[in-house]
Amino acid sequence: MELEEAIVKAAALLGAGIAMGFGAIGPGVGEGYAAGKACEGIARRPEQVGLLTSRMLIGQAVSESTGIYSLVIAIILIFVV
Amino acid sequence: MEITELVNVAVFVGAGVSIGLGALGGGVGSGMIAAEALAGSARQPKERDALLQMMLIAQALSQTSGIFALVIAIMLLFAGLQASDLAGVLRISGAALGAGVSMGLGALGPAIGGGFAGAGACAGMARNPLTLPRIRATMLMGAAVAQSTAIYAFTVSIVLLMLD
Amino acid sequence: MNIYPPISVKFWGMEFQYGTIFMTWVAMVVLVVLFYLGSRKLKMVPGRAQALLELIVEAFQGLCESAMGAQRGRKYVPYVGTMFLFIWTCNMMGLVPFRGLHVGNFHLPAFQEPTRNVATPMAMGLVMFLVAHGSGIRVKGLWKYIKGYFEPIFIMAPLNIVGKFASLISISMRLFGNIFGGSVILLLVSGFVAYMLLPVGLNFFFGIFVGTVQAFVFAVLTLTYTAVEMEEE
Repeated sequence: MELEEAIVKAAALLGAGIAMGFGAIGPGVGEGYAAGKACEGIARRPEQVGLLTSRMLIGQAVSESTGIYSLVIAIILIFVV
Repeated sequence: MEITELVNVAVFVGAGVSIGLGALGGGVGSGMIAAEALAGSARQPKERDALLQMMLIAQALSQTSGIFALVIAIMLLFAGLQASDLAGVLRISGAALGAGVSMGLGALGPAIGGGFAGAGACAGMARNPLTLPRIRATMLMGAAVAQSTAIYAFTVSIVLLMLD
Repeated sequence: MNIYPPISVKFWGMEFQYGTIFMTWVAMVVLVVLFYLGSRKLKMVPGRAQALLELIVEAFQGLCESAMGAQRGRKYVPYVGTMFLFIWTCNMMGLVPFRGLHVGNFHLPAFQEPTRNVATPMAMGLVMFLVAHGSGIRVKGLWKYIKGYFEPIFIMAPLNIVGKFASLISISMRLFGNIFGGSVILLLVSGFVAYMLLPVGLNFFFGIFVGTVQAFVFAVLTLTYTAVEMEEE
């Protein structure tokens, strides 16, 4: 029925928002923390800049994964449900 | 009161949640950066100007997610979302609330993360002022990557708003 | 709210946005002409234009060599450098104030960033994905490459595979979201405070700063992911 479909759709859209919202908190804090420590590391050992920068990026890419999971779930909720 | 005006409830709540939570992160992050910049200035008084410049750049970067939250809130308020019947009301309410919650929470984390990044950069600069250019480049890169989840939340909010 | 330009071309069942394709060609032509003219009369002691171009090339040479080691790094400098320059040019195109020319049947679209359409960053991301994994397979051999997914423990395989796709989605969406978000914000703010000076400062921040930083982050991440794939334990 129309009303039930509308309720399901509304719940799906709200759920997409909640999924992406909470999912964006963790990686944001984590990647920022990694960047801060990388800057301090460069201050301590300037000659290791290449290593520190590339390791920072790799670590940030790994912690990005859960953010991507949230994004995928949110997109699925919006377009498939 | 028309049933269609109930959409406004969700729109206003969504806008409020979006900018409310979004401003939270920006404040905390900017404060962290300022604290570390002040501590660095105390340790190395000669580096005051460079530290000030770095602090402003880092704070600007940390607050971009807050700007995204503000934009979503403005879009919610002025997009003129309307519904024609109860089903439409429910759907648009869900979308508006979802957009607000998504961007509000989504702006929270990256802003705090940007705060950590800027704080680390200011601390590193105070420790070793010669490495300023490398630290600045790394901080910009790291903060830009940390803001990416705010971008995802922004995209989801825009998609939710554009859905009808 | 109609943000996408209404002009699109249907071709073999796929829909192409006319503005995006036109702007992509403009960016390509600008880059080719610029670097062709800059490298025509190469002198030992460079003039100003050549010095500027050399600065860019050397910056990327240093970056690639520090990530991949000297002899491998030099081979990837054109790839990474072109990624950066192309994306940077695309991002800067949004700053040009040209509303478009519509004369009879001749239509010139308004200047917009090609990266504003989700297709362009996705395409660049796919290029990164294919080059990185292709380089990994070429350097390590197919068997060792596949075995790498089962490190450090057998069960991690699906998580590793999803992680690779996560990097593809993350770099594309990061670039797209930043540029598209910037353009949406400018549209909104300009309509909202039409006669104040505010949009100019915002244009500068979002257009130049964000565009440059995101292009650089994209290029560095391309380099890093390719280097990671090619690392032999």
